[in-house]
Amino acid sequence: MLAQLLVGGLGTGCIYALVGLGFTLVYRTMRMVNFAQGQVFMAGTFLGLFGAQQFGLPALPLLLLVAVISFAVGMLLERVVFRRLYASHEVFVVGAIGLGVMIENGFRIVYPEPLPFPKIFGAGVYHLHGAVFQKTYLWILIVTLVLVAALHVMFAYTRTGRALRAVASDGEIAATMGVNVQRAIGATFGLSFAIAAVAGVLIGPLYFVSPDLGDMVGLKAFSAAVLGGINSVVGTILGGLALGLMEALAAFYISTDYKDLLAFAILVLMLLVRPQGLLGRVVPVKV
Amino acid sequence: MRAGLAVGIASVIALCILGLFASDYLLEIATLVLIESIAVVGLGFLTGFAGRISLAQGALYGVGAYAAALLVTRTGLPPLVGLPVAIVAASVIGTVLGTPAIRLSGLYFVMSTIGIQQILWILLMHWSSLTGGPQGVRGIPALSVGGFVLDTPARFYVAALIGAVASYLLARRVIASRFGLFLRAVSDDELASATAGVAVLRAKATALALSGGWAGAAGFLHAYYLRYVHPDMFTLDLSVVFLTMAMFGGYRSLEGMLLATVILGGASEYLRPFGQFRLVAYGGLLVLSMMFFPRGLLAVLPIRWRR
Amino acid sequence: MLDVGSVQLSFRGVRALGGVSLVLHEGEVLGIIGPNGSGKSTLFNVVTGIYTPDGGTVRFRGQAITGLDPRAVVGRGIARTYQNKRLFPSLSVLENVLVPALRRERGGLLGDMLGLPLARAGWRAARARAAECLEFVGLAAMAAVGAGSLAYGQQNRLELARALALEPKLLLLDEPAAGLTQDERTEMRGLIERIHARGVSIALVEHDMRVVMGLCSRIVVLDHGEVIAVGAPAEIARDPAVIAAYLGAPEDG
Repeated sequence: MLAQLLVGGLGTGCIYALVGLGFTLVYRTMRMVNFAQGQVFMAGTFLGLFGAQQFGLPALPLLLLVAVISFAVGMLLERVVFRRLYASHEVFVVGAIGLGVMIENGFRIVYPEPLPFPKIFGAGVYHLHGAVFQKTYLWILIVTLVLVAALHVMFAYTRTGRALRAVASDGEIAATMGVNVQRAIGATFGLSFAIAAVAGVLIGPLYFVSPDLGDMVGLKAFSAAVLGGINSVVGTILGGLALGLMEALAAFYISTDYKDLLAFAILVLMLLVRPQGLLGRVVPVKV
Repeated sequence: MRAGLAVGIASVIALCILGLFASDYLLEIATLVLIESIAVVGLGFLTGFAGRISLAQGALYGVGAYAAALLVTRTGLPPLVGLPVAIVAASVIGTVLGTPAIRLSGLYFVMSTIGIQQILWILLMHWSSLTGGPQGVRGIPALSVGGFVLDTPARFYVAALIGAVASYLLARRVIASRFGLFLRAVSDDELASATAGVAVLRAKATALALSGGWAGAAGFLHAYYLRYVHPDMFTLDLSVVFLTMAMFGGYRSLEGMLLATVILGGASEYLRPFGQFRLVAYGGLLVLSMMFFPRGLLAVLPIRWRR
Repeated sequence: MLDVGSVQLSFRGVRALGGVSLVLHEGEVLGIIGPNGSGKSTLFNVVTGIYTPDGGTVRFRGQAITGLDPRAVVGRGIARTYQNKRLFPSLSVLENVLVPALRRERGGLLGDMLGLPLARAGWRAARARAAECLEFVGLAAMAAVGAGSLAYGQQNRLELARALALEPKLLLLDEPAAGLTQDERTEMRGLIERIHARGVSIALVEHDMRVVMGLCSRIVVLDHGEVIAVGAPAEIARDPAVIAAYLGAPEDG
């Protein structure tokens, strides 16, 4: 039984980690929280649904297509919407929430009922230590690992990655070094959208999909990012995995009703006790 | 100042006339708008005057509504007792949960309020022995004030109108008090306020208590108006709606908040048959107003017209 | 009156204050000078409770105030102005001064809401005190103007009025003459003299040597977070260590 819980928890944990990464990337660069992230995740699910149903795309091309489209949309929205919200944290948060509300309800108009998602990862089932799990979980784990590794390689070794890190650390200095800061910021948003959307496709086959998904997953991924440290990539990933596992265990050993409470209780506690997260660093403020 | 007073009296008279001649449908919309205005004004203490965004007002409104509902259905106490109980319950819960968070920076505070909103909603939904869980609380009797029973739309409209006017007048007195002055100073520059002798944490906690109290009062009216409460009435979406109304009309203008509540609340009810489009419009309004009028609509007016 | 003993403070490994000790006697005007970054404002921040030092003590009138929060320090009788003017821009000039003026008055929110006589008396007293402070700095005519739209020199004077409204025993002035024209500086000097004449002890951080030399009976010189000289203005002007620290004529604001 424990093995089953762990597998389930790890799966959801990976999803939280990926969506949470979206929050972290934007926060590191702009010090802002994009609360539409959950809805981006949800949009990715439906984009995947559309691609699988209308065009019968298999898994890998579907994931790539969703990633590319979401990246472009992310860059576009940054240019058109987010750029005008940088006035203050509060303005950005409220504006992002408004955007999220638009996206969620826009999708509700098109998809009012929960729908099943095609088994794009195959119907296979695996056995491991008494746990039975769908092939989807394997895909989730592998794609998460691949994405995280790819991100790491990009940030550490490529010019683009270093440019993005420079902008995240200090926009003005980066500009003097010849980095096109505007484009880097756009790319950061694009990346965060792409990762969240891919996570949306990954989770599709596990449940019935509906526009309600975005809210809860978004907020929980956010809690996970805060837990691990919203300005730490490693922290967010670990936070996501930790939250997924804790939820799975709590649902079984305590109660399914209150498992959602866990994420929010963690969020509030972390903010009160250690807002920079377990692995984050404090950013000092000059008096 | 004279102009403001004239406008105010004219509005109240207009609202009374509305009450006499309007259809039941229009009265229902107006009643809901008036009730919501109370919660929005309460939120305004935080957003406009303390400079803090809160997304927990929906849940606190629900706490007030549930307090009133549970009190009247579980005990034999007269309905009106529910009003102070609702106010105190929402105020205390808001203050207890919010005070540890309010010393955090603005961004972290918003995030905490989201957590608080969700936690409260989950408790309302799942603590069935206390709240009735997904069933909600049904069968709330009509509000009776000293033998006078408010069971028609027109009668409840009057109660809501009185409540909204009282909330506005009280709020004005609060803003004009030294506390209001300190709060504005704190939202301008917290450090300078502390070195000018302001008890910053106490001021913020008081703002929390007030915003909770206002939410509780509005919740009380909500419970007796709909005669039924359910957790899904008090979700994050409602908090977002309240926030939009509080910020849309000019972040420090009580009149602006009322105007925004009327416009947005009225439009929202009017668009209700259009289902999801209504919410898309809401979201769009929120985004657009943040993009172009982050200080609220009334901030666009020349200074002479504002308070 | 003020006794700073071996105060040390570091920020993330960078030493801001390395064992600073100084004494300010009741009734004197003490000048604190030093090149940019020598720790003058940091010292003020430690005394007023914005920073808690890593080591050392601060005593005021015999009592330890190290590590007290800013409001408590104000309660003991110390007020300050800020180098980069921390006014309340959305409040009027009068309201800016009312905030500190109301501090010790009776009556609170409830008193104001109920219109209690005690509360109203408190407002009257505070308004009177605020008006007096504005009069003193020459801003009485601007009382209703928004603080955000004041000219630079007027902002300096409003900062001063706000500190005065707290009726302090010790006033810490952080570069009150910075950015002022020559005439405005002379005015500021006059204001500070008049404040001193009322019996307020003053610690003055300033770059303008004419202001410092003219007002201060003693001067402390800081460099790189340490005291390198203490003495009368004439001695300090001749001290080789001080001259070396400044590398020539000091900047004018």
